[in-house]
Amino acid sequence: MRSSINRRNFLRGLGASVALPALPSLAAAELAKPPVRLAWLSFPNGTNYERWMPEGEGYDWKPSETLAALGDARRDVLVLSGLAQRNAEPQGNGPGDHARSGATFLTGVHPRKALGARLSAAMSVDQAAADAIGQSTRLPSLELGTEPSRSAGSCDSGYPCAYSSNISWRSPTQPMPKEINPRLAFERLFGTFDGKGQWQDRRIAMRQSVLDIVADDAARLRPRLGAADRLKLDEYFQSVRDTERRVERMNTPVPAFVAEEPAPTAEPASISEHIRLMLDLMVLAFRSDTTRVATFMMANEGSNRSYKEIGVGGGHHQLSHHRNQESSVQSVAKIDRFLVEQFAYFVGRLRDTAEGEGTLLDNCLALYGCAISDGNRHDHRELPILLAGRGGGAATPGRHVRYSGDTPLNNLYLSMLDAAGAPLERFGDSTGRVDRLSV
Amino acid sequence: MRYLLLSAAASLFTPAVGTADDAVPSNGRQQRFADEVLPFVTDYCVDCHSGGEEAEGGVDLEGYTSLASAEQDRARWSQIRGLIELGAMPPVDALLPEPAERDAVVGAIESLLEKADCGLPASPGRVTIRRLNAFEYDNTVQHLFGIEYWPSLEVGFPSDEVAAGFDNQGDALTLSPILLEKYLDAAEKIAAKALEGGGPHGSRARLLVETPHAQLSVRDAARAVFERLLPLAFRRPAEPNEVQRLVDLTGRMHDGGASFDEAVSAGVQAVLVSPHFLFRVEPEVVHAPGQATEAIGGYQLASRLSYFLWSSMPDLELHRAAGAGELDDEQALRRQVERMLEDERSRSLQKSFVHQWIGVGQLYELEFNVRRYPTWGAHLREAMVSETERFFAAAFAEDMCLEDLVNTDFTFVNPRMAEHYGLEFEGQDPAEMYYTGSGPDREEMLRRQRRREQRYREEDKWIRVELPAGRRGLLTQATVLALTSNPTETSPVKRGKWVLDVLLGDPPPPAPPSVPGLEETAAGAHDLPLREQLELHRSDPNCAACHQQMDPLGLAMQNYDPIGRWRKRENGHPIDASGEVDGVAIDGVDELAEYIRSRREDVARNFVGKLLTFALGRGLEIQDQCAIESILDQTREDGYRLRSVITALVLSDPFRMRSVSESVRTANVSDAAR
Repeated sequence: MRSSINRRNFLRGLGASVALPALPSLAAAELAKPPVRLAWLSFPNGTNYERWMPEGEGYDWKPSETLAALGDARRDVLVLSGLAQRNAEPQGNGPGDHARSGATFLTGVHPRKALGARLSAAMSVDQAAADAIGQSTRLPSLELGTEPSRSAGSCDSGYPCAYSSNISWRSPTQPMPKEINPRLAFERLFGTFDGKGQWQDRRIAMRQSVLDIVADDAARLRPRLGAADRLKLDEYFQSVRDTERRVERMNTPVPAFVAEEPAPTAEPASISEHIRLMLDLMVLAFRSDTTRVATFMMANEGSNRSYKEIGVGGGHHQLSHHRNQESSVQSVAKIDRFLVEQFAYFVGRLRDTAEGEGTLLDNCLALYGCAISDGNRHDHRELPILLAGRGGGAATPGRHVRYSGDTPLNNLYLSMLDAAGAPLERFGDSTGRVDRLSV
Repeated sequence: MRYLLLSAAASLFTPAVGTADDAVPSNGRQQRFADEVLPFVTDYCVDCHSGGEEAEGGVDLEGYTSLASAEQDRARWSQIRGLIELGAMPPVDALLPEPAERDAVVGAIESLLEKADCGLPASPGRVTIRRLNAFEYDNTVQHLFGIEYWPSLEVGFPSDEVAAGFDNQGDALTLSPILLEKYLDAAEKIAAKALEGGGPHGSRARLLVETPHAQLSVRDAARAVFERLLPLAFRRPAEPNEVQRLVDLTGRMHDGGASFDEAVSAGVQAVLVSPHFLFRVEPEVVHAPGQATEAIGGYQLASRLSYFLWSSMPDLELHRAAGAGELDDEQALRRQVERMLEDERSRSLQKSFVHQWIGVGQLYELEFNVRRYPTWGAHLREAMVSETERFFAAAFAEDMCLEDLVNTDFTFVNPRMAEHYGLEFEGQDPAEMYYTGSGPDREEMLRRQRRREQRYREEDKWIRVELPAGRRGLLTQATVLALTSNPTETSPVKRGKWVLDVLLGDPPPPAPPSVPGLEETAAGAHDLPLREQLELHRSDPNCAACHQQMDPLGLAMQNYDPIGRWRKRENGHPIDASGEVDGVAIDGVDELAEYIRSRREDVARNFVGKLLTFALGRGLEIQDQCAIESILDQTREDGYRLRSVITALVLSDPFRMRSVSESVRTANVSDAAR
């Protein structure tokens, strides 16, 4: 029951900051019910889909070879089949499926194959959620990953690299870069400054003054710039505004149990350690209500890293184009299972964390998926999608639900937003909500 | 299966030159498109390439019904032309055009869609406001404050996105909330660092030109500090109100109980997070109505120069020259370029431009099989990269001809690289210079020795050496040989592709997902030498068109193993490094170098294009061809020397001028109307 005491501590802290003008006042009744948290975890390069697809529907489903790696977590997830992200298709633009899939996964729009470097995607679902439910936490949203953007060569068939290395987008031109260093991610979430994770008032005042001045700089500069430059300056201005709000909330106390957690290493020894440190951080961030929205790229879309710790020496992307060569298919199968195991670990950690009368997992919806179905063929229908948690009652896990005829993945996103109290009328290519999430 | 292969190079146009012959009136051009291009597309392409989602390879050509629609997608048309020219399209199992038809359509596409009309008024283009990337930010902060500090690493900036092959492109450099937070953290740490550095010439003395005392108020001291700092940080004169605000901030902080240091630190932070510091601002200026181009201002030109040649801020001399209007003068500009290239700071060109041009970053994504290549590791990689940087430093210092980059008879080695290349090191056997100290046990010691995990005596000593027979220039540097290899063996395909892409500017399109790879066509043939496996692969007509170009270039480099060591045999087979490209027989690296030099125009055109992309911070547009050709014309006579190319580029229109933006032009017109 330690966590419920800590939760009270935390809520006291929140109460203290309610006086700030930017915050909506929170009614006592709302405080009583734990908030719903949303997470999206992406993996790259699709799957061996025939080894992913389970048999049977409803509660009566048999895990496939890949999904057997869920282990105990199978009763905590929904397997959702038949969803599509069709805007990742070429639409006449030729190769570049990995780049398009990265950019489409959480947006549902077709990214522009730009001449030069101009980006054109759309605000992603996590950022839409952050705008609605991220405004009272220390951090509106958290973006994590394990690989930096590519610094050499081209990324994918003439698409800017940003499409492959980000799934979270603040605006059509502004990706939300991910933190890949566990130590720095921890410090960003919980601060390091006075050892207790709290900021002194004077420091906050200083930051606010600095931000005031630079916002003023930007406002004066804007009329003196051409149209393309103004867009860049607007990005800057938006980031200043977002940061101002964040600084205002800097003195929200961090719950005591966070201070008991050792700060993670900056240099994980293996891929699994790296992934798990990041997953632990997400659990900690949710548990402490430091944020309610998180995204995590287990690897960049199109990633070609090799998974030596499970005996796979070849590059993932290269292997995924296996042309049905048995040894490559086997290697991809190993990677698929390995990544599902990492997701199962995350689900297990959420389930093992008590919250209120139940568990943290009861108040989460965590999606695991990719906008490519079969890595060898690059199709964007029949996507491999798992959804963990109950979302405060919105989902009934432990089942396999099959949707028909290219139901947009964005329909599921609308349902997730509903569960978190961040409803939107439509989003990207959505055509409605999905049914049968709960029974 | 039929596939239209589309290349990765959306931002690079195919080099082709506009001449007066092409200056056909625009309705004549439309007619030519309708007469010469459309019928070919209808007869040979749209059978497969139509129907939106159903189009083969996702490429739909039916929508291009006019020249105007094709002009929206020039990069794609350039790829289409390339594939038709190579014979890769239409595929061999389709209805095939006569060679004359092929030549005609290639000529028409080239002339209509790939050549700029240099007879039109100059169009220097516009560069989107550029945020400092991590490398530029670190350098700038170091030079501004005189501190040794790498904020991008210490604070952990998210990696800068790459576009058009470089990480300094205005359009791709975004500024996210997380980066702004990091900038705030960095600014705080930088200010603290700068205030630490002691001594009369330390960073503290440099920053605090005044401190308050009985006769000098806090505000007046702050004024002195920021009047000096702001013009340097903003790379232009400061406006009085800009200084005043920082004076006010410092004063207010001090009144609130902060020390002078702490109060100044707040002001420094406001400077370092300001858009005027983080972005290279090139504001609009007032110009005559109807004016289509304008010179960018002196201070803006100074910044373009310093970030091109130094990846850092202008120094005092450049700042002064900009203020004095000297940069308008061509001779003065030439002198500045000379001076800047002599300066130590120009070494940044190796770490920024050369690294990205050559693709050095790929070395950091590769791990070679250490059972086969035991000496591979971080030490060797660093040594390889260092060799390449030193080589290019010498090339710039000696103003080498571009084509000679592949033809030099020298390089730089430390004892590690000397042993790697089988050379002596100052008369000693480098193997004997390897540290053979005691290990925890004999087994471990032997392992470390085999892997060369410890240092050599004089590991940090680098000497210039003459290359032995069989080694020559850039092509045989371990960096290049390794970054084009696979973990367990060499890849003649990747090496050939590297030569085509990086040196000749003629990249082959990527293989589509389902074209059979080497493994499949050579199935059951693994005991054949690689050369014969490749031949089997080329016998597949789907692969032949591109691989006939790539493979022989790469095979010429087969005498070097994946980490760049010389060898005579591979898997027991003697090495045969011969082949034929474009009817030219090539055997080994010496002849490969000769072949590349025979294409010196292509080498130079490609290099200038890459350098211009880097210098401007934007992808090239078709009209930039005219500037490139003009740079080539000016430097052809002296054999495309590196410094001449750089100087001609600095003097070119796209570097010194810009097109007046539409919105401003309209605004001026309406001003004039009023």
